[in-house]
Amino acid sequence: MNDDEFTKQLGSMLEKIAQQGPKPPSMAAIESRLLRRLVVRSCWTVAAASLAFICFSFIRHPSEITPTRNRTVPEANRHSTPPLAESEFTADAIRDRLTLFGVTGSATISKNKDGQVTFVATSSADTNDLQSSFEGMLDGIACVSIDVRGHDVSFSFATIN
Amino acid sequence: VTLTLTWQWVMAARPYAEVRSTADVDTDLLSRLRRRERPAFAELVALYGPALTRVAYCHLSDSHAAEDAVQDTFVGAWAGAARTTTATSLRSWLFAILFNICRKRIRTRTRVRLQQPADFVTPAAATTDDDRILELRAALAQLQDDHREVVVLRFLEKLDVSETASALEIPEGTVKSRTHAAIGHLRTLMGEEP
Repeated sequence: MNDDEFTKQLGSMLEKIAQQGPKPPSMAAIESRLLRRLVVRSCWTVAAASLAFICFSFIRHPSEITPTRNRTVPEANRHSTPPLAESEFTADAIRDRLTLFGVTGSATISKNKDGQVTFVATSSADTNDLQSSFEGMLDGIACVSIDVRGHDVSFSFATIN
Repeated sequence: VTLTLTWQWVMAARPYAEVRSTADVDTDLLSRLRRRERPAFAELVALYGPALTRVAYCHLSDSHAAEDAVQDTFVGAWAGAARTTTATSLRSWLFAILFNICRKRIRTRTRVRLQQPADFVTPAAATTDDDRILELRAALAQLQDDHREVVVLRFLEKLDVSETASALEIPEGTVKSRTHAAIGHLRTLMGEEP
């Protein structure tokens, strides 16, 4: 048998094999597949949008993480706060005063074994301004250092005694 | 004599007219698909569903896999119709989608391979037509995937070399060489002397 005869025979045999196969798909089956695909795609889109929203909500806007030195203490507050006496040097008192200077959030105060007092708060005011204001305000209680990390400002004071 | 000549001319022109009309139908169908016309999609399914199913079944030799592949082909065609141009041959384009889907299926973990029939007969014992068909199925199972693609398109769907090349997205020379190699291999596997 030459190639031509073989290929003719091959065509008819392939036709017989094809007849043993499935029926062509119905329009309804294809439409249901199209619908399923649409639903799956929509779900993925919603999931991707949700994930993107969650991710972006964790990313701070650059303006929120800019160092606070460009911000200023309200002028009105700067001169209206009387200095704290030594006896008034408590967490509550400092928290109240810091609020006047634009420092917000929960403030904690701690004292180490050397008697150094550290105060941590969240500031939106200029830290240099705060330092000088505090130095004057505390009247003799020198501010040893101010450490700025994002919004957290840590003030360290040396106690009088 | 005039009547006879006219009749002969009409009969000779008929195949050309049919080819033209098929091409026109395809072009019209494709342009309507590009416009997302639902009735055109139904026409496409009715027109090409049988051919695609035949090819998918002969290539994959699995009814469920073939049905899935054909349905995915139509879904892909509906989604991708907007990317076609007026120069696109509808038939070749559909076969191209089908074979891409079949290749993906074959590559996946649940590898779809042609199953050798349980009652496979050896070439020496093949006497009846049914035996020859079983023998051919077994031989197709042993062919390379790309060779089987060419065989199915060229000898089942009777596509010419250029249409086959377009459907498989390969050069025409490659179609010819694969056809030659596939036929030789099939003849050997079926116990024919090449």
